[in-house]
Amino acid sequence: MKKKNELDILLNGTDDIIESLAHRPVLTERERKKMLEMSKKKLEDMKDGFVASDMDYRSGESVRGVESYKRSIIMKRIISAAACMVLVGGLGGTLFLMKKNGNNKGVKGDSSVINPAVATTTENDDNEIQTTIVSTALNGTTVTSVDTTATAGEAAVQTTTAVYSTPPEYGSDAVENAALTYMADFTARYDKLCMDIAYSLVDINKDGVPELLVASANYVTDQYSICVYDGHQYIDISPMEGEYDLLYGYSLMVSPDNGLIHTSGKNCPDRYMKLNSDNSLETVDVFKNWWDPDTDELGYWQNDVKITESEYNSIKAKYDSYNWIAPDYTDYAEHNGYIVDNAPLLYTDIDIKKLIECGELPAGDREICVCYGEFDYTIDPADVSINDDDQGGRAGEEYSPSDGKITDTFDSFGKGRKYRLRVEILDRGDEQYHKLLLADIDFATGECTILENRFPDAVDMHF
Amino acid sequence: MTGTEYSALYVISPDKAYQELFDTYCNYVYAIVYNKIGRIASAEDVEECVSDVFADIFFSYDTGSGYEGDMQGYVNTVAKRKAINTYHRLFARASHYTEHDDETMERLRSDTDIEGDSDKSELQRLILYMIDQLGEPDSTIVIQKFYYDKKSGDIAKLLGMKAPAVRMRCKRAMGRLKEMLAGAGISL
Repeated sequence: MKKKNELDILLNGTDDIIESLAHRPVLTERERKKMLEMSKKKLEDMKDGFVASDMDYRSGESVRGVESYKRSIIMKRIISAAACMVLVGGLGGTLFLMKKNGNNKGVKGDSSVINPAVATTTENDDNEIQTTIVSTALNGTTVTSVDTTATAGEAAVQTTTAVYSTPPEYGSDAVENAALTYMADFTARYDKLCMDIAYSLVDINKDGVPELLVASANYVTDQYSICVYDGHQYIDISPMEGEYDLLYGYSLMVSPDNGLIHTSGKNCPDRYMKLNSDNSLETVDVFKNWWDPDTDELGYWQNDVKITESEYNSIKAKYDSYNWIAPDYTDYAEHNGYIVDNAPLLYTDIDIKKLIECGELPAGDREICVCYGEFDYTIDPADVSINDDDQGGRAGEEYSPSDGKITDTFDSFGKGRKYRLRVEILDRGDEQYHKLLLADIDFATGECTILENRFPDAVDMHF
Repeated sequence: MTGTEYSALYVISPDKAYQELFDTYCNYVYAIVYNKIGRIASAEDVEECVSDVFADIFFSYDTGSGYEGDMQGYVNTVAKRKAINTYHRLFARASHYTEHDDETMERLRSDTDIEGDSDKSELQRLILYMIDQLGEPDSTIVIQKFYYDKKSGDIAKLLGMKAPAVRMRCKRAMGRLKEMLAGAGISL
């Protein structure tokens, strides 16, 4: 039996309840694809005379026959030989392109070498030995390192003359490298303001070249940028108002079928934009559904022109009927360590077992979260209590009471931030908050001063 | 989607017809199936049942029937029957290992408590109305987290948000919902 959810009361509802639930987004694109594929497989089996529900298509519980497969030794050798040829060809091609293109382009992303592939040694006319190492970096680019060792005299002096990256010039890799270059620049520019920088490559206008969507977050909302590839690099074409990027909110969805992009969020306008085939971005509609101070009731606006609620619902229904997809983001900053490395990481050690023993937390399997409430640092410490009302915060990682001792981490949103933090545990079993400690944190100096700690034997906070 | 549209598409390409039908009704079927078996089924069991429903429809719908109306009624019937069958299968399996709880036993009783059912429906409508009052994306987050039991990371993917943002909004939205419900004398 599953755990009980707060809204289980909605189970076993009538048709109108089900319809109301069905009108909300439920399934991710991946889940939809998976289920459709399963349905089609079942259909094929049904055509062959098997009953779908008799079989488990995830685990293969019912097996209808076993096909024995033995790979031939000759094929194994042919495949091995082919793989070697591909490897040699790839390396040769890379070296050729490096020579042809002058080896002067760099990728600013993380180029930590993870896979040294080949080293070649040559001696030039000046009696210097050059060692060329071609390897693959974490971001997928080819990194070439040339070490030159002078052999004049008895003592050899080693100097590194060049370390550079060679992004491929053609095909999809060039686009991906351009995206990584853009991300490196973006992160360098905004690392004080953003956290969780991520990117996604999506072909929104179906021209065969993916657009780059950049998502980042500050402590208020998510921020997005839309970038197009001009053949060499990605360029930000996000709509601006003065120096402010207008693409903020809690969500950015794309509809490649219509070439549309939609950003939305509470207290943020609903913005629909069309990416044209010439890569220009056109704002099609901006809706606001805010409190109208003139009438003291909810008002509706389309492109700053007031409309009625039914007009608003009708136009929104048209947009809602499109097939919207949430971009699949890849974390960038976290992978490359830009943000986390900018400030020391704060650790909260919590011995959940001791909290259970002293009766603060009940035992049993369920989800618990470590939460951080942030107070304004300028408030006099004498005026702040661990029991004050929540002044904003964020829920951290999810744990279980059976985890015993846990160490949760908290990272600054940027360099030099100061916080007065209250740490608490949110118990998903009864939705109760358990206040643990209050501390002053200075990420610039790495100082942590604990003001109150309700459970000093079980909870500690430190850099 | 009407029967005429599905049949016309089926003539051009059965695959396209399946895709269109699935895209149109997958949320609907998922909602029906989850509503019937969500209490005892795992996420994988629900997905399995949803795919069974569509396989059945793909297999058994007669494209030559000349039916012109909306297919939702047909989809609804197949989904409910399939979900109930799955429920009995899963319950039989589960009952070998677990104690029956009150809610499960109540579910097995016949549906003759008209007054009780009516009260429950009213309560469900009120709760959904209040969830809607939370506004987006909070209402979707609350439904996903506390009804469909989805993980914050999956909800984030669905809504194009970040998981920490979902967790934060989830916590606050549920707090607000409980306050609103308490104001109406309802506790979850």
